[in-house]
Amino acid sequence: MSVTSATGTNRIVRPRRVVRTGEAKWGLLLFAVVAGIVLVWEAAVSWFQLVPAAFLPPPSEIIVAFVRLLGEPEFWAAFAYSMTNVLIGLAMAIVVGVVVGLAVGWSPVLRFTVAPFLWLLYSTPKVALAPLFILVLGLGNESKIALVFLLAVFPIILNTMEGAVTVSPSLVNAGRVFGVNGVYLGWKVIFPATLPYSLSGIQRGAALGFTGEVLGEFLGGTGGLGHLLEFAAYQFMMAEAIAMVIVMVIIANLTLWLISALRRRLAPWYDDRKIVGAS
Amino acid sequence: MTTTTIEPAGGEASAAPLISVRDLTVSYDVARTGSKLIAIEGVDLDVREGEFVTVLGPSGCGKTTFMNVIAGLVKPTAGQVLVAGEPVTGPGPDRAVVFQDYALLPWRTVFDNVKFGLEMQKSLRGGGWRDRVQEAIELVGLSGFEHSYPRELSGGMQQRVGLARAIVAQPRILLMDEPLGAVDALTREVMRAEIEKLIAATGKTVLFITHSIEEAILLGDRIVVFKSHPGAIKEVIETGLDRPRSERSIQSDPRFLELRDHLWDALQGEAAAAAVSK
Amino acid sequence: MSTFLASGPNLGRGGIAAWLAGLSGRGKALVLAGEVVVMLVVWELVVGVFGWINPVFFPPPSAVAQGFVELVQSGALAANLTVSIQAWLTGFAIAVVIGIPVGLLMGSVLPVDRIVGPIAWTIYATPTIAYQPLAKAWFGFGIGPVIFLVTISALFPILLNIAAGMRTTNQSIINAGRVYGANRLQLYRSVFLPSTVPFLFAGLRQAVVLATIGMVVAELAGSSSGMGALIIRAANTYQTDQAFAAIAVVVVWSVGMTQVVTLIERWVAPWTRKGRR
Repeated sequence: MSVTSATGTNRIVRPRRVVRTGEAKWGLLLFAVVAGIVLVWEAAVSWFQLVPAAFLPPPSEIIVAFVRLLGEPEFWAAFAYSMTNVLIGLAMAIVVGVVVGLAVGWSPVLRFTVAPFLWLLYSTPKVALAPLFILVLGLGNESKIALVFLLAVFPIILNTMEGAVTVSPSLVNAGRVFGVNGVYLGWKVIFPATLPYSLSGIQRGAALGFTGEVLGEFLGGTGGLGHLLEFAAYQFMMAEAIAMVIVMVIIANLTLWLISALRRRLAPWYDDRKIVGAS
Repeated sequence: MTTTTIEPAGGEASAAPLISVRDLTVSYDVARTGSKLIAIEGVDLDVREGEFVTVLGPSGCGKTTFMNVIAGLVKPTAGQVLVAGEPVTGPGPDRAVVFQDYALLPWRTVFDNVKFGLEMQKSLRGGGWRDRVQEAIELVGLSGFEHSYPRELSGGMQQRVGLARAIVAQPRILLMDEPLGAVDALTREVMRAEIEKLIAATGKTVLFITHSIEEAILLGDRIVVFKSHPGAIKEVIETGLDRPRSERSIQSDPRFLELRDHLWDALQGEAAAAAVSK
Repeated sequence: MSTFLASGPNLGRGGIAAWLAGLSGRGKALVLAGEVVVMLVVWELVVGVFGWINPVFFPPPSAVAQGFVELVQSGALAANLTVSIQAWLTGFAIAVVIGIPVGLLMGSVLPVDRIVGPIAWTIYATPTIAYQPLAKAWFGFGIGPVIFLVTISALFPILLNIAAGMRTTNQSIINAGRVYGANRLQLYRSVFLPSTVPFLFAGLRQAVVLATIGMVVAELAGSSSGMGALIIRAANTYQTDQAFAAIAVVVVWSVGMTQVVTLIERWVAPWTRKGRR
């Protein structure tokens, strides 16, 4: 049996960490391997000088750069700038995405007329529109927020739509049997049933929105984490650039983790493995 | 070793049992709590060559675990299983399994699925195997569907493929794990009659797991009743009914009614106990 | 997709909904085609004829078509498309060559899964655009960073899908293999690998979309040639009709490659086609 998701592909879901005595062993092994890689890297660059440090700085230099970065007010200003844009764009995308997704998922007419276009737009590489956004909205916050919104909204729409379609008719009927109807039915039955779907759309949307923000900063303007990263790499300050990449890795993974935690909290009944792939 | 299996029941081997289960216990470690979960405990059973034994019990009583040990898929924690006098250490060509969820390979056609067992046993040398596969497909009534994929077949038809795959490997023992559990009620009755006929024709030794009382009586020479927590044999009953058993005539047979009432009482106690302990 | 359209929670349908649900496959396609035509006409009218929206910002279909012709005639399309396709195919091929064996290894050896898995997920969760400036610093301004970004975008969906496919092989099929005496090698060949095939193709389809995004991002942010560079050049010179035409070409490439993957899947794995029953 295969479960096809709104993305049209079979989603893979990161296996949930199980706290067991056996698992601690793997955590330790992973730590050892990562530590080993870092050590070999350090040795290759700073002790044996197999790779020029200007090209690939050793981990020790990156750690120093990372710590220095966290102490700079300039970094935190850039952080606030980027995160504000992402949050505004994402909030708009969530509101629009959930409303549109529920409407299209609920109404057969809309599903027939609008859904194919949504699918097409979903699979389109919309990042290509970034230069046009900057052309129309300028180099300021507006173009970046718009880009975040555009990239984030489609996964949210399509996942919510999928959720609304999946709300089993018997669930709706069960609600009706008990005399629940209209808005109340929506609030008590359909919303909770689609919530986990929306959240996985938001998860994907957040990652794409982040891409939009960083791309917008690459292409123009003078603020944000993307700009800082681009500038460091342009100046060939590789330790600083890699430290910036690590910051982004942390932000991205933290966001993902937060939304997962939220989904577990709000919809503990929802089984991640239900949407693991095919056969 | 597997070539002389098609012979009538009650042949020369009637003295020593074909399957002999001795004080069998299987337990699992529960990693979360560090305790042990006992699936089955202290099971003893002898099965004669050509016998049709049904294993009846509520869900979760360990009957599938019991079968998996005989199949060689699960290692016993204590005790042992002998097949034809040899201890079971793993799966072997003398035993074939029909699975509850069919366990067909979705990427193979009916023909290639039936061939699967022979292929794994490396018995594809010579030209005879094609005829054997074709014969098995005809025997289960799937002629014309050789090139269909499993997803194109109904549940009943998929299980026929599972059955054909098992008999084409010519095992001495057929292990059937609730083979009709996932099939709809009407198909179930038809297939029950067909299985009985098929087994009578081939004279195989069968261990048939079920949770249906009627199925256990209609098919079995003997019925092994399992109890749960821990899984163990509660009683073993000879059905003593004549073959072939037609469903209609047997429904009014006093022996059938007596067995049904008896098993009903036995299982009801079990089901209630299982419900409470959960 | 037809079942998707036909199902849903809204049971009380009538009027248009009932009519749509009753249409044949061909009728549905016709209605959709009609919708597309209506959309294009409205777009043309609003921007091109009435001029309610500045056509520089949002050129009408006729202008985009004209922009496409200009791109073809000037040779800019052919030159840039060649560069992009070259980078895309090279990066994708590298991702496939690395992703498939590593994914299989992760699926069959538990320690590898437990070590490579978390690292791969961490990198996969981060938008690949974060790695772009590093790629530019390391590989210069040519095709190098584009290939790098395509590779890193496509690699992880392939790798992680294969590993997940191997790990979720149906236990009772594995049991069936063991019952009939399959040895380890036979189990891999006859059970694990075929049951991973649908996951491989799901991963490839995902990889096509992500690789295209990676390619465009890399070319937009610092490349002198390729479709991304063409789009940004056209936009900066207010030739938005050409920019839209170039974007359309990228979309066609992305959709086309997804179709190619699906066609290969139908050919290699005919059993995955939706059932007829």
